[in-house]
Amino acid sequence: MKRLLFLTFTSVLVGSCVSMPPDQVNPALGEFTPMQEEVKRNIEQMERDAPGFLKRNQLPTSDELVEELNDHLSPRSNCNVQFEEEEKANNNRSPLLDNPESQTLLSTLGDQPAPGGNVTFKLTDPGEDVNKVVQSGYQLYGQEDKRIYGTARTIWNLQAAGRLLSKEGIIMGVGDISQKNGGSLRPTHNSHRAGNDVDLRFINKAGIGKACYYQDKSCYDEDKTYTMMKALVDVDPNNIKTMYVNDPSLNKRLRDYLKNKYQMTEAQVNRKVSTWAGHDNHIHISWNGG
Amino acid sequence: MKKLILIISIMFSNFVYAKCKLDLDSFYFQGLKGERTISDDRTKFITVYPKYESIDSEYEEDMHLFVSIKDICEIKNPILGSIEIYRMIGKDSYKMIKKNGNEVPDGNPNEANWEKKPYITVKKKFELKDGMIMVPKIPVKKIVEENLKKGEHVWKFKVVIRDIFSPSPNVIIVDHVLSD
Repeated sequence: MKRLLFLTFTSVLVGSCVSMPPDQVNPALGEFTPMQEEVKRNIEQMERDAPGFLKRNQLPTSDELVEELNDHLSPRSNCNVQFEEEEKANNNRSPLLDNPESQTLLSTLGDQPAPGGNVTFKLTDPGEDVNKVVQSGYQLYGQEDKRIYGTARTIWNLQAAGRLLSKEGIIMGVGDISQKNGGSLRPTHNSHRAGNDVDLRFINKAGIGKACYYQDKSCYDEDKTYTMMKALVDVDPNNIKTMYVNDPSLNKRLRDYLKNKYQMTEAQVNRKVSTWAGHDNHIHISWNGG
Repeated sequence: MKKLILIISIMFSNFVYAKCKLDLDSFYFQGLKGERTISDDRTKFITVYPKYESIDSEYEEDMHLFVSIKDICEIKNPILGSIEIYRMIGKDSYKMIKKNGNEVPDGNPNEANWEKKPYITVKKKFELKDGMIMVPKIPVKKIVEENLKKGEHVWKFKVVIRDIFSPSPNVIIVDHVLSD
């Protein structure tokens, strides 16, 4: 009975780490699929490696129990390894940050913080000095300065992108992020809760983030807005969650950029770049919160 | 004689009114506070008053509504009239559709209905400005935020302008998007 329970438990463990490909779901009667064969082999191996108390069909002694727990809890399971690898990929540094020129430009910002964490970091207003705005590469446009709090990483990303863009003569218009400590911003926003979502104005002909509708070609500058989006992607490419870009032309260019520069698949790009009602006069970008 | 003058003046006013028509598809909102921004030549800060064709997350408490006038309209300020505002209220979530294997919002209101009674009725002095009729100080914040149950959203509101230009009401429908 104990052996049966052990085998059932191990089968579930093995099965939970593996998703069955569609072509292996319905094998011929009496045959095992390769996947089932592998599970069978694993079970047989586990039977051979089964602890002594199971082979004796007895309860484990306290030493055996401790040894068994150490064996199963300490090493990372396959599931954990897979998850950790994905996490590691998400936290990979952007190649841009290893570029010496960027390093010099961003040196005073310190290291890029880890994703997530408290929503207590305020995006500082460059203030009344025009030169400071030009140098920082961003200005704030929101109605309320209580909605410009983000995680350390989000604020760092915005400041880093701003500095890179200031070299290109571009000044971003940054709107709502989150309120201090996060939480709902309804009725004005559905998201913007965890300090990872940012609204940005389109860039106008003069290179400044202004309230342009993308349909208004006398105001909206697609190329300059594309430059802004590339900088925002480049500072944290593996952590981009979503971008709502309603201008169809800019949307396509951004999708191509992610595919070509960061080798993202069509499915990944579909998840990251889309459109959303009410975003004809601004862009929404969000990063993963860790 | 007096009767004749009255008839002529009514005919004249009808003639003028007949020439004045609102273009109900061409309108925008503009805030009163405006937005501080660096000037295009990067020498100073200026205040701009963005035009909003729908209400999004950047609305102000009160906003002026500007409506275009068709053709040239011989009319002088002030113009007296009234407005009624009706709200379309529904769930504060979008209807979702499948697109490229992902579930995405289709932008349409979720289970929304128009309120039967006007939420606001008020007499107004309209102004003719830059070839447009300005309906001053529409209380946008009140319209989209007040008297809602939890989980509800004002998806649209209807501004019914009465008693100007024609006896029939002029209806403008404004979207209030649920911004992400």
